[in-house]
Amino acid sequence: MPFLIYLNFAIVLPIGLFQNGVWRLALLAIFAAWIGARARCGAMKAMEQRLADAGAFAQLALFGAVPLAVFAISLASPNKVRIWEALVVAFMVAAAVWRNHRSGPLSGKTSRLVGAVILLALSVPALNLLSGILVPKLSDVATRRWMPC
Amino acid sequence: MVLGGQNPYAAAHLDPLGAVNAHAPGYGGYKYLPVMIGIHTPFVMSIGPMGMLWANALMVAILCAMVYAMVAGAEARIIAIAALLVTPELAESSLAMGFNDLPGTLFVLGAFLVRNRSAMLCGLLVGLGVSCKLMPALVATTILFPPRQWKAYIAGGALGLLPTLVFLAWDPAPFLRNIVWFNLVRWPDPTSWRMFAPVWLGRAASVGAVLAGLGGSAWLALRAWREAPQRNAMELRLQFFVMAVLVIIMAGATAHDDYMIWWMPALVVLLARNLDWQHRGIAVRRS
Repeated sequence: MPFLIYLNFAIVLPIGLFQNGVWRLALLAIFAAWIGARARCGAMKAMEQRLADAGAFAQLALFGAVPLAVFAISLASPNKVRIWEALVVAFMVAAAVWRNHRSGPLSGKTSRLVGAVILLALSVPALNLLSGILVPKLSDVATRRWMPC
Repeated sequence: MVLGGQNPYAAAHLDPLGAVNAHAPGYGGYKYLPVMIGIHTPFVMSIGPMGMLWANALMVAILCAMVYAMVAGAEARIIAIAALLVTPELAESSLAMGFNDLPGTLFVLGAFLVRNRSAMLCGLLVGLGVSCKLMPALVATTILFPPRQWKAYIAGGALGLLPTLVFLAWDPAPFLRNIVWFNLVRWPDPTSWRMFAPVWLGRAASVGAVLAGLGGSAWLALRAWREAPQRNAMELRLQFFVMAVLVIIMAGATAHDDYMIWWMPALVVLLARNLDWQHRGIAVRRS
């Protein structure tokens, strides 16, 4: 469950709305409060217990909504890589929820799912690297000396 | 530039945006520390500007190896590495845009990894991290401080800071201007709430964040001094590190996507080390 919250945060932070300092501060503050509270606060544990009890479909709806919303927003965005990232995160949410509701060690269907998760996860940095090479967008001062003016 | 004998911190036009941002021409020099130059030079000299992306790709691989080493259990490792790889802040900032936040993060995570084995190596990695980019290593400096082996830690740290001291001694004024003062005078951008707030409030928030970080670190050091090493000491430090970096980012004049790389890998490690729901008293209905 904490990983699903992390994935939701990671996929939603870079979208346009949260480039605004006030919205960004609000999201970061909520996320920081969650990190701080989850280790010690009993209420957080109770909330996680309620989420665990809610069942697979409720968890899918709750944690799949953000990546699917980012997917929908990204369809109109010039950054097409984000479309793939959102789909991969949606798949990982589904895989994590499915795995949470299965018991036993990694074997058979589960190990094939793990292979798919790793392959899809690797596709995100690979696609970004390819995008950075094909459409150069180096933007750091570290490379400015080398960039044409 | 450095190989040609020129001081990058005294350069007037290396970072024209920095000079514009600080409203003074003296802020046009290099904005990172010397180890960063040492890390990127071989890649950029041999491949050209795109060498930044390949250097970052190599560092992402090293980061995955570090996360693997810091987490126990096959399933937890797979989840941690997969979550890290799909993190857009890491993939886009490092591999598409070539931002240089990874070296500092690697040094800091490495320091967390070796803290209980060698105080000197831990100090060296923290020192090299600071000699690379001030954040996030500066936050880790106090969080990782080992009260019982402080001499070895400080010796290692001093060794790691040597490259910085060389450039500081070369020409102190432009070095301090571009590395230290720039962070205090830079104008907020739209990614920070400070752009929409009075200047005094933003500066007060920064001071408050630094004081909170120092106070928390002192508490951690005191706790480490009084108590025997505990199983969850690493978790406590990682959690405090993540919180402190987040607070500093939130209080800063800029809060760019790539800054999230400073703390996200540490959080992934922290979550993966506490993955077992049942261990934490949460019952899971399994089918």
